Amino acid sequence: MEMGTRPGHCLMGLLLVMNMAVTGISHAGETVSKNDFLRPEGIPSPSSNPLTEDKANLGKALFFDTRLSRDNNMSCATCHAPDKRWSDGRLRPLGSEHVTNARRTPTVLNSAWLSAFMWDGRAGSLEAQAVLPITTPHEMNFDLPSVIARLESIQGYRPLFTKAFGDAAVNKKRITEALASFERTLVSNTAPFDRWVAGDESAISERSKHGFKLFTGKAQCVSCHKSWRFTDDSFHDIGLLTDDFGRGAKVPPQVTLMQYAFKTPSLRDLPINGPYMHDGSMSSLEETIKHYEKGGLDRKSRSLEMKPFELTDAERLSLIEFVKTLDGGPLRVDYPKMPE
Amino acid sequence: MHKAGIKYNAMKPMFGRLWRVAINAHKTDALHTTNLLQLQFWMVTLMAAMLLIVCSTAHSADSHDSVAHDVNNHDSKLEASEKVYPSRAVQGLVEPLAAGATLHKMALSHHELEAWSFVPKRKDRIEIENRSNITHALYVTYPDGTVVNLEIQIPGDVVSWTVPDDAEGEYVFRCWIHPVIRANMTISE
Repeated sequence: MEMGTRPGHCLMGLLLVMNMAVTGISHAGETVSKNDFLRPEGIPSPSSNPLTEDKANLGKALFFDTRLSRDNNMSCATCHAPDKRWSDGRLRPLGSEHVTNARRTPTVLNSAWLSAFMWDGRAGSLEAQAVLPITTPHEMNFDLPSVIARLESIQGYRPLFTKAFGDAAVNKKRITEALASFERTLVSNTAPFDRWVAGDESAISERSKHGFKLFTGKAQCVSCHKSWRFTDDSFHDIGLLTDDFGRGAKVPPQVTLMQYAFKTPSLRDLPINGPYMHDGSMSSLEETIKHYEKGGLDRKSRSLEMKPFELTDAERLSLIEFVKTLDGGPLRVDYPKMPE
Repeated sequence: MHKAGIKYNAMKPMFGRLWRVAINAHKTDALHTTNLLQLQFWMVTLMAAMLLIVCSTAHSADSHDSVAHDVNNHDSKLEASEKVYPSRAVQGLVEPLAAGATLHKMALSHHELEAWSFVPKRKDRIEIENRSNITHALYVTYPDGTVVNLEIQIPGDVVSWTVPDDAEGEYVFRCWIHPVIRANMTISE
């Protein structure tokens, strides 16, 4: 059978190929387009704790208040500092020197959209998460009844609680709802990538655009780093050498894939020199990308999304240039005046 | 052989163009827009030619068994699945459907269970196909807190859950890997 003697086949084949070329087919078989990375319009909040300005204002005061810790030395902002991309810039958190398998402090930026919190997903909501650092011994090391009693003794909090909740009563639910409300207002600034997605072709360089193609194609970073926040809010063992069982310690042992698995972090607003990974074990984007190229430790729990690949030096640079376009710069806030 | 030779000759100029564009991109150490456009154009042309060859070969090979081809593909998928986690079906652990029970089908697409229109009842079996390109690990939480793990589900795999004999209330489907996946199913008799 010679080419051209079956016009039906020719037309069908050509149409199929043209369709594939126009829509764009990724290596993983799913179409990825710039629109998949569009920023959302508003900030989501649960119906049980709708976002209000007054709750966020109260939450802001609580977030920066060191009196929420037993020895009055640590606030939420100590480890989630505005000038450190709402993390702490440390390999391991303050006070965790004697903690086995201590994990790096994640950012609280864009947490309004998260469905699981902490590196192992042990908290299911921002409200549930908010109380954990307060009561963790090597962090704020306090207990809720004592926190409530201390806040009740501070007269300056009374009008804030009244505005937020209708009266001045202080309780655990109100404290966590206010903290969660403030954290929901912390949203990444618009980055060059966002302007490019919105249609400004000059917003990022040609090399960055090439990096985006690698990100969504050959390197398949997009398998896990997806959506406008560049995370799937999911858990994967990426083959790091670690004793930390991660999410594996929180789920039934039969779920082998969750052993050594940690939540996919967002790629927005990354500190340029790291630290990266749950244990802060990497300090450059190049090192991180090379880890994915090799595929990490091959063990039963390793994510099936970890597929080794090869990049040239130029391609690696393009990928790094692309990741840098996700940085909208520091999100600054005015520090609140502490209630007295 | 003769036919293959003719087809290769037809594709030779396309390979040549592709090679030159690639060399040009390599020498300039960058994939400029022009290069990319050229590369894409010749890639599309080459893919079209290759597809046409596949189409015409399939049509001309009278003895070709398309059903056998599909079975071979299915086998290779099963092999891949067995390597990682054997499914209950592969292990022969799936029990026959109970008398009077119905087999329902659901689909898991990327990060959500697609909406279903059936009304499940006790003893029914629900098969869930992973139509995404990522691996999932679904589990069902019963009203009394019991957790039942379904299988690790690579793309294309089907897992099943049989509604318990005494089921009543809300059963929650979630994924250990992707907590964002959540679906509530109410069973009432």
